[in-house]
This record gives sequence, structure tokens and C-alpha cells, in this order.
Amino acid sequence: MQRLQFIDRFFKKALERFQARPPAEMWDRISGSLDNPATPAAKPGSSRWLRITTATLAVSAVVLVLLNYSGINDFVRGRLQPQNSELISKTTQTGDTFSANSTKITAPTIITPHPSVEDITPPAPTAEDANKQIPVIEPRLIERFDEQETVDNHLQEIVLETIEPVEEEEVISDDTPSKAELIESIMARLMESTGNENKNDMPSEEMENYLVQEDAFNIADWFSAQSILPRGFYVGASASANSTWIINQNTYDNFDGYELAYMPDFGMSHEVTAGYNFTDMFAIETAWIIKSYQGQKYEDLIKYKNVTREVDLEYTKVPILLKFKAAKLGGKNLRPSSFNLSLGMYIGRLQYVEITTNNSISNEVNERFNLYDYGFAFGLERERLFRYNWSYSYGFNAHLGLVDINAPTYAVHDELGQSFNALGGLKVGLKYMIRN
Amino acid sequence: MDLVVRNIEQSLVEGCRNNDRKSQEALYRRYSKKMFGVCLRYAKDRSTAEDILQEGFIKVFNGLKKFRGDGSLEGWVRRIMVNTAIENYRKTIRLHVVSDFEENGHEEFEETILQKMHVDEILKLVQNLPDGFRTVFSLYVIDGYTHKEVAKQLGISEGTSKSQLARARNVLKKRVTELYEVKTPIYAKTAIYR
Repeated sequence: MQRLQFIDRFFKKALERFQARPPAEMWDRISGSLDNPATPAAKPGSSRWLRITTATLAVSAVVLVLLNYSGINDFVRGRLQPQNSELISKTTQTGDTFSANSTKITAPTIITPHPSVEDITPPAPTAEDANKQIPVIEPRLIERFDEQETVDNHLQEIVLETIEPVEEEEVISDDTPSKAELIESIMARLMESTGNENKNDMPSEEMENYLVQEDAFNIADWFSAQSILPRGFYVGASASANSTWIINQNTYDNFDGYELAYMPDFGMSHEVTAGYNFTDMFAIETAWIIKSYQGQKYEDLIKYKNVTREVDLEYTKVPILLKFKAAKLGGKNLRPSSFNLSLGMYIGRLQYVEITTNNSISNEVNERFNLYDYGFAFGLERERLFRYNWSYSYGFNAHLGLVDINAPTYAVHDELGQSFNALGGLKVGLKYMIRN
Repeated sequence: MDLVVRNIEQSLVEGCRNNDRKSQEALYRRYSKKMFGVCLRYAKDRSTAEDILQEGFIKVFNGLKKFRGDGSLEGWVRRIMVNTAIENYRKTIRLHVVSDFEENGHEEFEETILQKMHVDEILKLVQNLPDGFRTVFSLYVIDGYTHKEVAKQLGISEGTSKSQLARARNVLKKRVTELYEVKTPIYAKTAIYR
């Protein structure tokens, strides 16, 4: 039963039977609409997904360009090329010498599978093969570095182990460097890349990986499964500077023109991260984004003209990301580095809200907004090891909310009225790796 | 219901169901003033009310096949108008800050002030309420919905409906009081309200 106060009764009495004459042309408008039912306008929701798709394609295009530019494609292609077993098989069956394409270095059939490559084994010889007097090849393992050894000694050991003497008749090019020249060349590059004084500090695995990936030997084809990135857990910290938006119907020009004039709005966020590199190409990562500032600044163009508002939303978030890593050695110091593409979801909890209206701040409006938010998380970063266990990263990150940020009281339960958080910006981070 | 009225309504409904334009116009003429009054209560301005009225009548004509005749035709048309107004409210809600409106005080409300007001001024006061307040106030106070029904219509909790209503009352009391405290011509004063 309704309990009406005096003011209620007064307004009810005054307005309950209130009538007003509509404009004279109203019937013509209705009649016209009945004659020509309007084609339903594209809903902003559709437009939103169109925009998301477009953005995804654009980002993918950028990723491809970056990968191509950085030469990582070549490396990835190398991984996908005819695999080692095939090469080894061919070599084993024929006894031919293997010619390294890139440098035209000829070398005898040498199989030096790396300890981490378990699946690279020559196929069992057939009876026919046995009759051909196939040379017996003893697989040897590259010994792992003893970190106490000097770089020079170990490098020579590995090179000598890898490069067998080249017989005169097998030389296919006059410009093929001699073994001594090769060793000298590699030594020079390593000295240059590591620095004379610190070369003993260079992580042994990096040294090993360098040799494995070094183009001069083209051994990458032989050991394409070689991981040049460490596997295992890692922890770290990151910070990002983002441009933030609230995407809703006001973003679109679907009604009577744009209703809001968006103004640039930026926010910082910082986080602690933890992850696990479970293969050399994939990792899973989570984080505690301690503070993520979001929101939007805008000027009303229709309802409250000349009113400028800034909605500041502070969230704490937890993303879960799957990372794809495309790695190579590079740079002056030939450190392992990778391009990481991250995709995942985040869940966020609203911590604080502040709304500034024409420089008047109001911070008691938490009830205006939904407490929880979740959505897509995306990242593209360059990560580079600079110490045996340390890496830094920099790149782009973005979040797109999938939950209407309006609290139920203010929510509009259709696609037209929902508002979503979005951010995109630059991110830098530092990680410590606990190698397996 | 008067038998004559019922027959007229049945005739109109039948004509409208057959897409007879004259019947549709007759039905429109019959209810347009009342329904425009409803639309004005739910809309923030006249232009929006016109849009609601137009959309509402199109829904009426397209949906008359579903009208079973259990209740009055006017009540059915009115419900469609209210629902259309609610949909419009949902479409136009924005991130405007409700807390722009101070709500404290004004318990010493002079009831007699209201007696001096013209219906257009009263309508203007309601129209100037924030969208959420206006919708809850109109649904509960004028159209007689319960808080449970309001909550269901708007997708909010009953508690929220109650608090919105209380805040709407406070805003109305404050504005009425302000209008008469400063002794200014009422139309000049209302012009500053959004």
C-alpha cells in the first residue's frame, strides 16, 4: 500500500489528470512512420564490436609489421622449417657433407644434439642403409659451461668441438673462412658484444645459446627447439601511463549529434607481477594491479552546456594473461630478447571515485558506479634479459571492460545505455627469473 | 464501463488492427492529450515528450493485435506510454552527477506554498528533477506503482527505489521553497533550472 506524503498527494492531484495538446503535426509524423517504418539504425553495440574487431585487426597488423621489421619472422620461420630429424636423416643416410646456406661453410656430418632437445634422433637405419656402409656417427653433447671457466677457453672448446676439419675437395666456395678465421671472427664478436672486462660475467647459457643461434654456423636449423629464453617462475613490477576512456552511447553520433566533447584524460597504474614460462614460447602471467586510474573527462554539449566533468575511477585489478613469445638474440651484447604478445582477462574492484564538475570536486558518489569490472586485457612488449636472472620490458598495454560501470540504480539495461571502461598506454617493467 | 464507450473502443481497435488509417487517427485524437500529459511528466522537456508520444503511438498501433480487451483501452495505451518513457529514460541516462543536487534540510516545508502554484509550474518542477528521481517519482506517486513494481521496471532494488523517491521529494521541497523565499516571479526563477 502506498504511503503518500502531502507533497506526493499534491503532485498526484495536480498531474494525475494533466493533459496537454501535442503539436498539430504529430499525427502526420506518426502516420508517416506507420507508412514508412524506419530501417532500424545500427545500434551502438554493433558499432562497438565493429570497433573492437577493427582495433584487433589493426593491432595484429602492427604486430606483424614489428615482427617483420625486427627480423623475428626469420627466426620463427627457422623454427618451423624442415626439422632437425629430417636434416639429420638426410645427412645420415647419404653421408653427404652439410653445407650451411648462409655462409657456405662446409662441415662434415656432425650431430651434436643439445641436452634440451630430446626428440632429435636419427631414424633407425634400414637394411638397405646398412649395406651402404654408412659412416657411424657418434652423437655428442655440448658440455654445459662451468661458470668458473674462462669464456675464451670454453668458446674454443665448443668451436673446436663443433667444426671439424674441412677437407679440400669439400670446399664449395673460395670465400669460405678457415677454422682459424672462424674462431677469430666469433671471438672478436663476443669480445665486442660482451666487453673485455666483463666477458666472464656473461651467463654461460647465453654463451651457449649464442653459439647455437649464431648465423655463422647456422646451427639454429639443427637445434631449432633450443630455448633461448629461460623457463621457470618469475616475479616483477610494472608501471604504465595510460590514456583512459569511458565508452558509451555518447561515443557515437547516433542521435542528434555528439552529446559530449571528450577531453584528454590520463591515468597511471602500477602492479606486481608473477608468471611462469612453461615453454620457451609460452608463459602464463598474473598480476596485482594495485592502483589503476581510469575515467573520462568531457564537456557536455547538449544537456548541461558548458559543464566540464572529470570522472576519476580508481580500481585494483587482477589480470590473467597468456603470453606468446617470439625470441632471438640481439643487440650489442647479444642478449636474449623477445616480443611478447599477451591476451587475457582482468577483474577489477572499484576503490575510489571522484567526480569534478567545473572544478567542484565530489567524492561521495561511489554508489553511482558498479563495484566490480572485468574485461579483456591485451599487451605487446619487448622483453630483454640484461642479467642472468633479470629482464626489463617495455611496450603497450590495453584494457577493455565488458561490464557496465553504472551501478544498478543508474544502469540502463540495453546496449544503448551501457558504459565501459577502456585504457591504453605505455608500460615498463622489471622481472626476476627463477630458472628451472 | 459505459457500453457506448466500449463499443467505440472495440470499433477503433478493429479498424486499427486492419490498418485503417482513419481509425488509427481517431484513436490518436481520442487519447493524444492525456498521453502527451503522461509523456511530459516522464520527459525532461517537451521535445523529448513528443518523441516518446510518437514512439508510443507507433507501438500502440503495431501492438493492438495483442490487446485482449481485458481492461480499458486507455489503461493499456497508458501503460505503453509509460513503458516507452522508461525505455527512453534508459537510453538517455548519462554519467551526469546526481549529487549536483543538495538534499539536506527543508523539513520545514510550507504546504500552503503549493496551493499557489500553477500546474505548468508543477510540471516544470517535476521535469527538472534528475532523470532517475523523476522516473521513480512519476511511477510511484502519480501512476501508482509500488516500490516492488518500480524496482522491477527499472531494474533496481526496492531500497534504491525508496531512496530515489525520498531524494526526489527533498529536491522538490527545496525548489518550491527557494522559489517562494526569494519572492521572484515564478517563471523568471524556473528559467534557471535545467
